Amino acid sequence: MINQSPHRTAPNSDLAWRVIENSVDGLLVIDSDGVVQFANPAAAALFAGRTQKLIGFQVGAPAISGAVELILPRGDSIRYVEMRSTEIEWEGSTASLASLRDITENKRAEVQFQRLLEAAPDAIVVSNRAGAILLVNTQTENTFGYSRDELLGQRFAMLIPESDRPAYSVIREAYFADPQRRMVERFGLRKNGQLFPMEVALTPLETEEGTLMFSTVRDVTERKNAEERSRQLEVMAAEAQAANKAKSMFLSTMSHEIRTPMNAIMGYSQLLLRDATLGADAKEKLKIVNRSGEHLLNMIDDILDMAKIEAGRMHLTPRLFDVRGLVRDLDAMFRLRAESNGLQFEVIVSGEPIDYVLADEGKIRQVMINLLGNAVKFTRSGGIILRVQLNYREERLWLSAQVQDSGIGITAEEQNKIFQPFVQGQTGQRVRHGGTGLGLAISRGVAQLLGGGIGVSSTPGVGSLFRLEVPVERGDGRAFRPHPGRVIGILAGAEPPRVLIADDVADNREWLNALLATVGFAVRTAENGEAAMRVWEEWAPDLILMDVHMPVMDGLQATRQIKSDPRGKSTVVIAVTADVMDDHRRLILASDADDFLSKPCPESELLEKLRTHLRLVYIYDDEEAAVAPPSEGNPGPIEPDLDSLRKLPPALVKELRAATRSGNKALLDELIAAVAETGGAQSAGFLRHLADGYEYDNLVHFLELACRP
Amino acid sequence: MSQDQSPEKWILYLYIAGMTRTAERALANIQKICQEHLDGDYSIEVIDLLQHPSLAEDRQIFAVPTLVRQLPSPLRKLIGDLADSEKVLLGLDMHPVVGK
Repeated sequence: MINQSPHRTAPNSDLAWRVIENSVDGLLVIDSDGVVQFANPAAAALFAGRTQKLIGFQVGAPAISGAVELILPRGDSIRYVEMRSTEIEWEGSTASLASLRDITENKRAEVQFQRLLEAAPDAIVVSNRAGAILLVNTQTENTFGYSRDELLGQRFAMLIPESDRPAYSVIREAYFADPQRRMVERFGLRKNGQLFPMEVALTPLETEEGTLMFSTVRDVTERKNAEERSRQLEVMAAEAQAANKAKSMFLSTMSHEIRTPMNAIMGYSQLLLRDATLGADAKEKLKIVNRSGEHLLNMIDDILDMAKIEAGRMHLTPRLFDVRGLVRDLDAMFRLRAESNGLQFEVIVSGEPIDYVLADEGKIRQVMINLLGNAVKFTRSGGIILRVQLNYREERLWLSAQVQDSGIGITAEEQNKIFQPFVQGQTGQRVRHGGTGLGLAISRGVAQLLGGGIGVSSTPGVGSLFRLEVPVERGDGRAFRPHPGRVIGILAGAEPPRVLIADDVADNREWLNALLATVGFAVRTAENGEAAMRVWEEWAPDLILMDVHMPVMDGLQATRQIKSDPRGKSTVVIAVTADVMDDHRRLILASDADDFLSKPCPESELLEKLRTHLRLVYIYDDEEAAVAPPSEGNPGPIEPDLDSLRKLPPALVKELRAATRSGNKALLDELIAAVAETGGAQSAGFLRHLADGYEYDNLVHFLELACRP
Repeated sequence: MSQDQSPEKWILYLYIAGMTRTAERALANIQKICQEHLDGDYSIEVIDLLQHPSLAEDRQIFAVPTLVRQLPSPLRKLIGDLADSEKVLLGLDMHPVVGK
C-alpha cells in the first residue's frame, strides 16, 4: 500500500521502498506543473517505448476522480492503463501520486468480445441480476431504436412492454435461480412505442461480477409475417379447394337438373317422330326441336368438359371403334356445311390398313369436330383438307388427324393463346364469330388426357394447319356398329324380353315404356327403388333400367339388394343417370350394376344396350336402304335357319368365326360368298345381313350355335 | 503563478486516441468548464493521435486524454477525464470569472 502520510522526501522506510519497487502497478509522483518527480520500475516499464527515465518530463497533472482508463501511445503499439490518483505532499508542495495498472490484455479481450458482439446478426444485451443493462451491440441500437448511452445502466425492462414486465421479472428470477440456456418468445418494445415479436436466447455469462444474463434478441417480425402469409395461403388454398368442390357439385347438380327435363323433351320428340300419322312438315319441326335439344346438351357438355379438365376429373372410356366410320361421319357432318359455304372439302385417309382401334372414340371425335368446325368457321374461300393417318411410331400405333384450311390464319403471338381457356384470338374475324372460346382449350385438354397432343402452324392470310396426334391400340375386331336403320321389332324369340323401367319421373317412364313396347318388349314400370324391388320379386324381368336418383330407395341401393339375391344374378341391371360427371359414372360402375346409361340418350344407344345384354336381333325398317340404290335387293325380314347353319362345313364355320372375331370384313364377305356357293343361300343371306350391319356379336353368337348339335 | 487576467485568447488542445468513453467525457468536461469560466474567447481543438501518430512524439504526449493549454503561455498539461473541475481550474490556472 501507498503511504499516504505526508513525505518530504522519497520513502525511506526499507519495507515501503521494497513494496514500491516491486509493485506490479506503476507509481508516479507528478507535481502541480505535471512534471514527473518519481517513477517506480513498473511505471518506467509502462512508458518503456518512450523513455527510460520519466523523471523530469511533463506528463501532465492528473485531473480525475476515481479510476479512469487512459491510453499510452507507444509508437506502433498502445497500452491501456487504469489510473487512480491521490494528493500527497512532495518536498513541501502538493503533488499527485498516480497509480497505473496495465489493463491492455483485458482491453484486448474486451475489444475482441465487442467485435464478436458487433459481428452477431442479433441484438445482444448483457444485463446483471438486478436487471441493469451492462453491454449492448449496435444491432441492439438498430432493433430497439435507442442509442447505446440511452441503454447502458438502464433497466432491461425498458425493452419490454409494460404488460409483459411482471412475466419478464419471473423469467429473470427463474434464470438466475438456475442459470441455464433457455429460449423465450415475447414481444419487444421499441423506443417509438412499436411492439414486435422477438425470440430471446438467454445464456449465462460467468464474470468476476458474478453470473450475468447474456440475451440474444432476434426480431422475428419477418418470420412471423412469412408464417402469417403462409397460413393465409393455406387458408386460401383450402378455400379454393372447397370452392372447386362446390363448383363440381354445382355442375353435377346442374347437369342433372337440365338433363332430366331434356330427357323428356328429346324422348318425346323422338317418339313423336315414330308417329306415322304425322305430316312431313310436323316431322321437320320435330327434328328441329331435337337438333336444338342436342345443341343445348352440347353446350352444357362444353362447359362441363372445361370444368372437368380444370379439376382433373375427366376420365377415359376407351372402346373399339371404326376409324373409317368416324371419318365417314365427319365427312357427312362437314362436307355439306363446307360446300354450302363455297369451300372445297377433301378427306384423305392413309397409313396402316386398320379399321378398328381401341381408344376413347367420343373424345377423339370431339376434338376433330372442334378442329373441323373452326376450319369451316374461319375459312371464306378455298377449301379444307382432313388427313387421317394410322401409323406405327416408337412401337405404338398413332392416330393422326390434320385439318388444313385456307382461312384467315393465326399470328404467332395468338398461336400461344388460342389453347388457353377464356382467351380468344384477337383477329377481328375471330372475335366477330363469338362463341365460348373454350373449344380449343377443351381440345388440348382432351388430347393430353388421351396421351397425345395438339398443335398448330399457321400463316395469317394463308391458312392454318391443326394437328391432333393420339396413341391408340389396334382393335381385335370384336366391334359392332349400330345398324343405321330404325328398329321396328325383335327377331324371333317365343316370349318378348321383359324390361322393368324404374324412374321417379313419370314422363321418363312413359316415353321409355312407349318406345320399348313399340319395339316389342314386355314392359313394367316402378316409381322408386322399393317399388322396383316388388316388381322384380313377382315378375322376374330380364333387364331393369334403373334410375340412380329416386326417392324412398335410390337405384344403387335397389341394385345392390337385387344383386345380393341369388335370383338377381341373371337379371341385367342398367343404371341410368342424368349425372354425367365421370367419377359419378365410375361410382355406378363400381356398384353391382351391369352397365351404365346416361340420359337423355338416343334411342339407338338404348336399344343397342338392350340388344347387347339380352343378345337380341332386331328387325330394322331401313328407310335409308329404301333411298339407296335397290341393287342389293331387300329380302325382307330374315329368319335364322339354325338347321341349315349346322349343315355348313365345320372348317368354314371356324374360319367365319375367326374372321368375325378379327373384324376382317373383306375376309368375311369372301367366306359368306363361299357359304352361298356351298348351297346355303338362306344362311348366306342371314349372315350377310348381320355382317353388313356389323353385328359381330350376333354373328359370333349364331356361329357358336351352328357348331353345336 | 500567472496573475494575468487580460482577456487574451485561450487555445486548448485535447489529445485523444480515438473517441473513447474517457475521451468523450474529457471533451464534455472541458467544454463545460470553459463555458462557465471563460468569456467565450477560446478554442478547443481535438487532436486524434490515431490520425496523427507522429504528434505523440513531437508534442510529448505520454498518455491520452491529455489537455494542453497552448495559450496563454506557459504551456500546461493535464491528463485524465478532467472530471475533477477543481484540479482542472488549478492546473490551467483558470480563475473563476466572479472569483478572486
